Amino acid sequence: MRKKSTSVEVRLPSQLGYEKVAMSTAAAVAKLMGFREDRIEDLKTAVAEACINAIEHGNKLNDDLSVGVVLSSGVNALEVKVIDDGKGLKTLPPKPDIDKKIHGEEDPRGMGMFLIQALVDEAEWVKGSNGKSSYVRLVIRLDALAD
Amino acid sequence: MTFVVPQFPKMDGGFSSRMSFGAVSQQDQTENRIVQSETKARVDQLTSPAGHAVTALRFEGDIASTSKDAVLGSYQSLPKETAKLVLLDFTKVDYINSSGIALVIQMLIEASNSGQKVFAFGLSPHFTKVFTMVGITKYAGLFPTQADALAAL
Repeated sequence: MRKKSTSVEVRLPSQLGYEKVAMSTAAAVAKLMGFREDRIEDLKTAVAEACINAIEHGNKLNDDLSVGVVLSSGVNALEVKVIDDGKGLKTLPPKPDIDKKIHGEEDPRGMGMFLIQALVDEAEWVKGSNGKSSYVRLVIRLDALAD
Repeated sequence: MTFVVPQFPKMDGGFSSRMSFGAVSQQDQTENRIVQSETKARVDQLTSPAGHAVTALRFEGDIASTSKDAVLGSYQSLPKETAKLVLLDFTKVDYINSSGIALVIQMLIEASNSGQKVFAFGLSPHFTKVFTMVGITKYAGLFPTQADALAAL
């Protein structure tokens, strides 16, 4: 039985595609913790989308900035923080509406945050102090195995 | 017909890549530092057991923001008058992110406006769930295999 939390950190360049490094790392940690395969897939997509948001919107694809990913595994849950140098979100976007998208009333993009919220047990967006080091915190629980 | 969007690593200060197939959009130009694997698309003509002509778009690799030419380009190359049933093959797709899903939705918008029907098969259980969550199943039927899809058309 796991007695204490352990932590893994990854630092990504602000380049699209590197989210897959965080995705693979998160999957490896979750597998070590004993998460079911379908929950690992959920986590991979949520982590990838969080990293894409950090790269594109937080760090604005700036080569000089990196995205920090901190994975902390506890007894019953894995917490993932994805940290960028942006100012953070003012408000959460509304839930995407496929009918509005198909009829041109809504941008076809903009589903990343919806997917994050839908695929993990907890998701919160935290503004950093001084307008920097904002992060999204994701939690996925082992006890969700019961569903 | 094969559409390939190659990725060229540039070693002076990191990896960089540019779209080299077809037109490069403003958005693509702003997203020019990308290390996602290339997306390939191939077009096949099939006939369903009921005798309907079906155009299959077979994708391979990642479907992400870099996949615009492969996904939309291959779809837009189809003759709208004859390609009324379009079947998307995701069997060889490794990774789809929200930008890739947005490309599929853009295809569905164009298909809806052209009177085409779109179906898909070969998604993993996870991406079947994701496509269902975002509502794509309302506008594109999902099937486990090509045989299942063709049998329904």
